[in-house]
Amino acid sequence: MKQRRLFSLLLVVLMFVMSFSGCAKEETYENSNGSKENTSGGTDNEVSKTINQDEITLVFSIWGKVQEASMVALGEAFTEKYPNIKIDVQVTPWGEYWTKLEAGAIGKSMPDVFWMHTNEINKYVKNDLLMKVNDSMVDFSKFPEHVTNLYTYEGEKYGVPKDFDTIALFYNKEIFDAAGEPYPDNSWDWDKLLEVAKKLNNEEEGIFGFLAPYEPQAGFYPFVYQNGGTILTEDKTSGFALPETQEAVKFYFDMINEHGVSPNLDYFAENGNDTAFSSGKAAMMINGSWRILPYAENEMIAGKFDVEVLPLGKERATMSNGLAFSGSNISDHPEAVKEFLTFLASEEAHIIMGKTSPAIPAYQGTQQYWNERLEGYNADVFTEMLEYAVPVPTSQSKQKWLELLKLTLSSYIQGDINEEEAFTYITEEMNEILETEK
Amino acid sequence: MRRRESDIMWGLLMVSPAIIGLIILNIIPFLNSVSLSFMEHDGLSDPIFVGLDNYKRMLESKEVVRSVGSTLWYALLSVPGGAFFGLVFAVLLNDKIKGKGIFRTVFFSPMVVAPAAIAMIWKWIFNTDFGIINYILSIVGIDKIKWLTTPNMIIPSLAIVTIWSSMGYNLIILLAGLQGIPDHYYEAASIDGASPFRKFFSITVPLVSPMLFFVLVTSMMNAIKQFDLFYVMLGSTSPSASKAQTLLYLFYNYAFRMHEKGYASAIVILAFIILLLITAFQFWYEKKWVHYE
Amino acid sequence: MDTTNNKHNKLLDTIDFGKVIVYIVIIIGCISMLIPFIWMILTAFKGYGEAISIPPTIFPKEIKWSNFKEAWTSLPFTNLYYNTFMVILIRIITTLITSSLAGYAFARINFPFKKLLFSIVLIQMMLPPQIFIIPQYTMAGKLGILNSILGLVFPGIVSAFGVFLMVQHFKSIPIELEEAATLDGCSRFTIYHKIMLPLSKSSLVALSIFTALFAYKSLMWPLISSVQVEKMTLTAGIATLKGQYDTNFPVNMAASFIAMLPMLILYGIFQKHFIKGIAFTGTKG
Repeated sequence: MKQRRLFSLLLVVLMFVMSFSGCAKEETYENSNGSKENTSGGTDNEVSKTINQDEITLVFSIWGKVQEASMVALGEAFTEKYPNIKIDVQVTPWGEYWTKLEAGAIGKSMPDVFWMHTNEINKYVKNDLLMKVNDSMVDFSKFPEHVTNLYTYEGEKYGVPKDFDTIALFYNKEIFDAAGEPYPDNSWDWDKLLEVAKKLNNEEEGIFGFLAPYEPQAGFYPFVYQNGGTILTEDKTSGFALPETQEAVKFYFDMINEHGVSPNLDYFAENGNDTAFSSGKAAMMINGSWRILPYAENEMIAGKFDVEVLPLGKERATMSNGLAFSGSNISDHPEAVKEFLTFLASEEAHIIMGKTSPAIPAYQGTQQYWNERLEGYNADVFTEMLEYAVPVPTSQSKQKWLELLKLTLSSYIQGDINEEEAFTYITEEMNEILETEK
Repeated sequence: MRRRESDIMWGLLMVSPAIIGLIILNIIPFLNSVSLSFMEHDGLSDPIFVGLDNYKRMLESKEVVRSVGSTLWYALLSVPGGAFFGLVFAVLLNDKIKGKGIFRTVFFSPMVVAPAAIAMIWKWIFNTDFGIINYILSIVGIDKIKWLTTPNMIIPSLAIVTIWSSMGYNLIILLAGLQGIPDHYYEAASIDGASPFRKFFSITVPLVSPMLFFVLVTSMMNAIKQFDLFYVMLGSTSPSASKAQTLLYLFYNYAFRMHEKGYASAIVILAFIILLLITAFQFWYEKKWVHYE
Repeated sequence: MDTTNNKHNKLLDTIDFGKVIVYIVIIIGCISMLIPFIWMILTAFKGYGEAISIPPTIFPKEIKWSNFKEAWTSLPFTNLYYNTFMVILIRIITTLITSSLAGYAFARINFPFKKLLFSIVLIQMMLPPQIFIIPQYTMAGKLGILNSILGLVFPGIVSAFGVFLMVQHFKSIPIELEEAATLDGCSRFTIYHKIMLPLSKSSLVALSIFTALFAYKSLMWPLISSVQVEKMTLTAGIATLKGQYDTNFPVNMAASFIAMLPMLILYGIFQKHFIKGIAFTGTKG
């Protein structure tokens, strides 16, 4: 009868599935066998012979499929040194990465090693989920200080610097050529930037002189610091009280309203912040080092653009951020995690990344390998600018005041409120938010 | 219906697998959310009890009040529209039409097409500068309309996308409902000289009303819970988007970007209560128009 | 005789005209439904830069078959197909059984706490799925089913949606059919499986389609509950191709196309069951 057939089918399917998931269980990293490992006391790059040859697999979690190959290369190089430790690289898209990490933390099944970001690190440090990284594992003098600082809390370090980024000026060579205009160089200042933007702006052809989307790090922040202003003062109050900050923000967004050389915010919302540039419709914009390799692979503008240092304000400045590798403090294999983190802090690891990753490796001296892949472009400027790079301002309540900035500045740009109202409001509210951190 | 003692046993027994499953998988997390709405919680650290603070904040928040309005407006525009068009096409595709199998599959296809593709195409259709609608309007001499960037236009535009994309779902449910209407009802009506419209309103609608009711109730729930569409179509940098946020978009923002899971839970409870009221109303009204044999 | 002929001709005219309108409306509807599908395929053949350029181009400048190759090789499609298929199969079985049982009971049987229990069904549907994820993850972790097919199946073993659908369906079946059986002394269960189920083909097919669809489209859960891509479903697997700032849309579309084909074919096969003529076998008297 139908009923019996259904039930037996269900039973068969269930049995089949059970057997399958049985196999699956053994393969999962949640290996409850608890492999005991004895590592030798040595901490340098010699191959540590472990007495217990149990194979360990560390789960290494990243977002960004485009860097997967690079991370896998790191894992393979590590396994060559430590043959009993395999690295399982897992890609989770950015949108779901943090939910998954959090779920893992709650369920005690976090990956062993993972990328960490300044937006989220607080939660994890507060709950003691990140392994402390000490000087025996990492030679911090070889890394840009500001990246290390991003992952330092109360004197303790919780991440191995992976990469750094800086913001540079991107320009479209063809548009410059067509107008007979010389390319940007390091003598440029704000006035020159504006002058050329106006010259190259061509409404009939639909060419924009300069793109000024609502974007903090790769948008108005560099201008603020170049003008001697700041987003966060040293005693953690809002930098928007400073006239230097206000001037700079106004200068940037005047590109839209005053000078008409940039599309407005609605345009960016509909079409993306840099699509106009990658479609050959914008003469200039500022953007981060993480964009240059994708542009070089974008058949629409490959070879038709280049980069230059940011124009000079009252001083030189650019923003810099960086990612770090963090280790789980609740991993089943803490020793293996330590070894892997140590490896990730080595010059060798960063040379591998320089050759394979779209991000600039953080270890001193390895940037040349990254630059080499960008022949024909002026890519050295990204590393050059590190000299005067300002770390991206961050604080515990960053997400809140970022949201405040976005909403208020958008209203100002759209013309709903005037600049005085905007800056006063921002200063007040931001200070209130920052107060809660104390 | 005659009630028998075995009825009680059978009744409870037959509902128990589903109900037990739902309690474990869904009700317990729900109760968890309710308790979380009285706390402050970043997701990992220990939650801190704050009593009614979250609710007070929510009711005083302009942002929340505005989003309730946006959400309800969106539901009002998209739910009846989706049900109506779904019914029309279900009836059309139920008839003696050649190739209705192919047509039905075509109507189903958007449901399996990558959501990214659907977002891309609709974003392009509504695009102010390069979109098809404005292009056609320009030929007729009408100025560009900023569909997705004018605060008042956002909800209607997204309602259109929703009506369109709910077609597949509603079609399936209503087709299933239409199967239950015996042919001889229509035949008898034809003999009596009834027009297609008459047949539709006197036979089809009443007999498909249980499924139509289902469509309206579930569409309403989906509308109030709407988040994905807004997230994908508007992105986070649109200045106007903040004026047309739905409740659950707010929830997502607070739960996952601001790390304020307690406040986010209060927002969920608010959405739930609103939905509860609407659904209760729909069930109360059910007796007046839904026809069961 | 003449009048009959005239009447007949007039009728013919009206029928034809009506049918034509119907076809036109359907075809317009079809075209609008097909546009995203066509767009998806056109994008799959474009270059990476072209696909995101403005103004958008309709036809690819050059046809990049390489996108399909790249899509095929960047994901373990065989595993993904298998996992998705298994999840769909298991969920259809469990959902159909639990939903039809509960649906019939709610629709036709009186028992204590009925209203309360049904409200549980409705409550589930009124809640956003995001609040379930982390508790379910913790439960699945404790059961040890993470990173497995059972893990993937877990949240969808039962369906409130399914119960509600079946309730509506059963309520619309004429009660006379049941009463005959009750008079004969059949138990509730016999009525359920001998009379009700056979009459439920269309609704069960509809529910199967929905269950398959929800399982197919589910994104967050497979991404979180599975560690390796090989253990995910198609939709989740394809999502791993997304970048933080950038996505290679053409490859993504190519992958999505490869993934959706079986679903479309399956639907094409199953939709035939939306056919009238399911015999109302209940005989009166």
